[in-house]
Amino acid sequence: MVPFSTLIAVCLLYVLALFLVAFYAEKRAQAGRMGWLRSPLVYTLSLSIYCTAWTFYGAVGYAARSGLEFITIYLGPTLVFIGWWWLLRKLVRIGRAQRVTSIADLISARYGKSNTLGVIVTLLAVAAATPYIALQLQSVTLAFGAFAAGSAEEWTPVDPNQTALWVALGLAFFTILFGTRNLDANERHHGVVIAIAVEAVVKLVALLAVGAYVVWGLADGVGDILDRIAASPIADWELRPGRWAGLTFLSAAAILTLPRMFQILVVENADERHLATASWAFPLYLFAMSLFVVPIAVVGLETMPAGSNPDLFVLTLPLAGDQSYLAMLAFLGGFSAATSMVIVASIALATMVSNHIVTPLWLALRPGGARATGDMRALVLTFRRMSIIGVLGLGYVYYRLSSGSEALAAIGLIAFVGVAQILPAMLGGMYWRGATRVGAALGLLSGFAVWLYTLYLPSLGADGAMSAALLADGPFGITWLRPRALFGIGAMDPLLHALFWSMTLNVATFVTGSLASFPGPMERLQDVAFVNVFDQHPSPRGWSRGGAEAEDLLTMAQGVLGADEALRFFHGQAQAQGRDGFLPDTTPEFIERLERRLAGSVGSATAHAMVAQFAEGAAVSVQDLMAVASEAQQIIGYSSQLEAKSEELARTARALRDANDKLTELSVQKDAFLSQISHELRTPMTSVRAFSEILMEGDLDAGSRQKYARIIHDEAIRLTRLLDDLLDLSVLENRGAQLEVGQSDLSDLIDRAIQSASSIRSDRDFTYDRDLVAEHVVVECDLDRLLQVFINLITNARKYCDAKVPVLKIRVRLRRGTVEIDFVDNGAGIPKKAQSIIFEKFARLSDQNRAGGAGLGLAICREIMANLGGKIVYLPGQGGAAFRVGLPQRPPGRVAFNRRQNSPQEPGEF
Amino acid sequence: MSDAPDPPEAARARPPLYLARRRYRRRRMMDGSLLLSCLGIALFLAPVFWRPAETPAADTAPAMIYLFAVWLALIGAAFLLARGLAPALDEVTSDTDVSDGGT
Repeated sequence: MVPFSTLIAVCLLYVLALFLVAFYAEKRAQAGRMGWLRSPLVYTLSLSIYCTAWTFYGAVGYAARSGLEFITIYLGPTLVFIGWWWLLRKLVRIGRAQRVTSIADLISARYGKSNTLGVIVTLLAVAAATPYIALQLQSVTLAFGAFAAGSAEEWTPVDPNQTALWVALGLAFFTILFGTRNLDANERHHGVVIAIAVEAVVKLVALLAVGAYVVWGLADGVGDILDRIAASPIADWELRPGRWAGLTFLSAAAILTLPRMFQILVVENADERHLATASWAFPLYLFAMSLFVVPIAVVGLETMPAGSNPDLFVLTLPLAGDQSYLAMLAFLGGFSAATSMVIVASIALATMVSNHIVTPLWLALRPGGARATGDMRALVLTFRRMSIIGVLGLGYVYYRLSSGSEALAAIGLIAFVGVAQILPAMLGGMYWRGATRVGAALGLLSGFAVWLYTLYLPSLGADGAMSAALLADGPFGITWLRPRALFGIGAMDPLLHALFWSMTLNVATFVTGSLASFPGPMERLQDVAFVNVFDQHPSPRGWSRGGAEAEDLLTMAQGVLGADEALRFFHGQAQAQGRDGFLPDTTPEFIERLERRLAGSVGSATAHAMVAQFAEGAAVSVQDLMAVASEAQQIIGYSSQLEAKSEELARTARALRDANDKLTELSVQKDAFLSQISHELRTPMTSVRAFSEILMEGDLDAGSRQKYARIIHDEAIRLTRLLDDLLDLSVLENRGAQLEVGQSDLSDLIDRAIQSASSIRSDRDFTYDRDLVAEHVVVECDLDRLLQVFINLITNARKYCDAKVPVLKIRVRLRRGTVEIDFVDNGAGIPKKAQSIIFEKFARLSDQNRAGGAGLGLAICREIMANLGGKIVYLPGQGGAAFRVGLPQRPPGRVAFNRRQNSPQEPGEF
Repeated sequence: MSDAPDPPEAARARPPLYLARRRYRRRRMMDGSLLLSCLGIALFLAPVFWRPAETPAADTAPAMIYLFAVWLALIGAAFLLARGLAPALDEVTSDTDVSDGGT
């Protein structure tokens, strides 16, 4: 007999192992070594969260009570999976194309990005899942109890409520740790998925082992088992045709609409081809899971004392046979089944709650609405974490409230009927362009209401949520409205009754509502995007024109995606348009892509609302759609060719326009610079001439002579410095600079730079915000030159930052062999118009008095960085002037000679 | 840079009426996938017509063998279909197969 304490120890070890596996997977994924992490096998195994503790323990109990009927729960999913080409493939493709984050998001996106629908589906899913989670907690505590009862130790203290609480807390911790690492639901939760795949193997092996023990250990092989079945209380199959067909349909619907299944099937899907493998491998898994269910049930009924709980035969049979290790394996199997379901279900529900309820509320309530800037990422993650705790807390409360009630046994099927209400809106949305938002809302609401009234509330037991009188006689004594016998038809099985009426009413109102209403433009766009997802014809855009300020959009996107990710996205889009820098043209295509990118994080409805704040009036209208459609008809034959060409032309034109703008600007600047340089040269020259004339006249006292000579000397130094700068620049531009490579810690370099710059406007209290730990990076390059760049940037910040309390933020980061150093101040920043020219050598932004220099500093910086094999860029949208210096940690073999084409000026030309 | 579309370009707009051998096979596999589900539904629902509840015979054991045999056969067929259809996922991105370049 295994002592109870050993069981606890094994359990904790198992959980620890899962943590390590999940952690290892996250590490690997971060390092970009996906390998088997995204194999079809892992995908198939993770799908097995369909088999919860309800099926692990409950299937045997079900079989002991009603014979073969339990198998319908597995037959439905089998039918869906073997027909994958027609349904699942389309579902997964839509999910990926729209960057869907949950099933609520799918419905909301399909019907014109309506958040109302998202809220309805979320509420439905939470209502259905809460008891289901409670059921998992109950199964774990029951299993603990079974072990404790069989344990020799008298003292084992097993308070089921406490066990459930600890399990719930542990699961919340695990889920938060691995389920809320990143915001983008489309970035997969590798750790969670791998842990679930491991748990899938454990539960399958456990059930097969118990099955093999029963068939070849307790019984005498297959023949004997068949004889025993024929002699058992369930020998005659009491097939109820309605339930047989109804439950098969129900389980087929549930595999598509259960939030946790949708999460794994669609959201976590890394590759469509994995579906091909899962199409046969997942049914095979279900097959193996149900193979030994009837034998275990039959042998359990035969050998266990009357009145023992058939739900626990998987555990009590090995225990009774003194097979304690097998029992422990069975326990771990059940534990795996329960925990994996709870983890994925709470991730899926938390995503829905945070994306469709909490975030929209927060956006609506905070001052400034969606336009207000600020980092939403941390906030949404916090929402998600709180939602996970909330969902698990609800499950625990439900468990406490219903503890010991028999109602829990049927709760799995009740939840199935609840989520099946999503099916009409989902399938209608995928295959019928006529389905509208009004229809979907009506269908969902009516199905939801009928389900609550006829199945969910009555299931809480007599005098639970409904009085016994209401159940028996209907509301106000109207027998036609009795919850379990609508329209006076009471002969139906309660589950079938609820399924029939809820689905009938759901489909009827969905279809009627769709036929009678007219879809808005966004709905019509989305119906094409969903129904014709495999069509490659370009569909009209959701934005008829651009026009939003790219920098505003960038600021908003940074709040959602994080600064790095947003900058990378904007940079990529700008490059695709053939532009330099971080700010692409805000074309309708770009806005569309941005919206889709944001949708992966906060859901389509919220993303659309946020983008709409900036592109007001640009949303597409029905007229736009009609125009696009008829044009598309005309040019369908050669449109793609033309489009490719025109896109290329547009890219070229944009590049040319940019170049032209820059040249014009430069030419103006150059003229200004020439007069500036003449002025700069002339002023000292004038004073040199004047004072030397005075000196020549003689007749001066020693003090004055000293003074005039000093002035002449200072002016000469100023001239020399100016000429030095010009010379320096020309050397750098010709890549003629001698580099003296040395090694140093970046932190020291920054210290020195700050020291050197401290004399500039030393009257002001200037704060440096540094991350000293991250700064300890050793770089190898020409240190004096790098120092020069740093000094220049810090000096500029000290000179031009116009904030009341000036702060310069310095951040160092090492990414793929490149050291990135960001200098961000909190001043007014650089106007967009000027951003493209600040690195040119004629560029001067402010009036000359303030500048003091000749406008060569940043130009020199750029050339130095180019010489060092790195670069310096301006980062827009950071709330101040922001520069990023990028530098290879080791010098490249040869410093690249890719001179920029737009700096061909020769020295001496001015 | 001709002004009018090339003839093959125009022809490509409509899905071809006759397909080459390999693609013809793929099409039939897609049909097979749908029909396999239908067959599965029919076979799994067949017990409804036996009315096992009304006969006195002990039919759980034979019915179990029947169900598991059908199940395994469906899995086998799905395996074969998946092997045939998986390569099509890469090439065929449209149900109407507009993008065929011929065989």
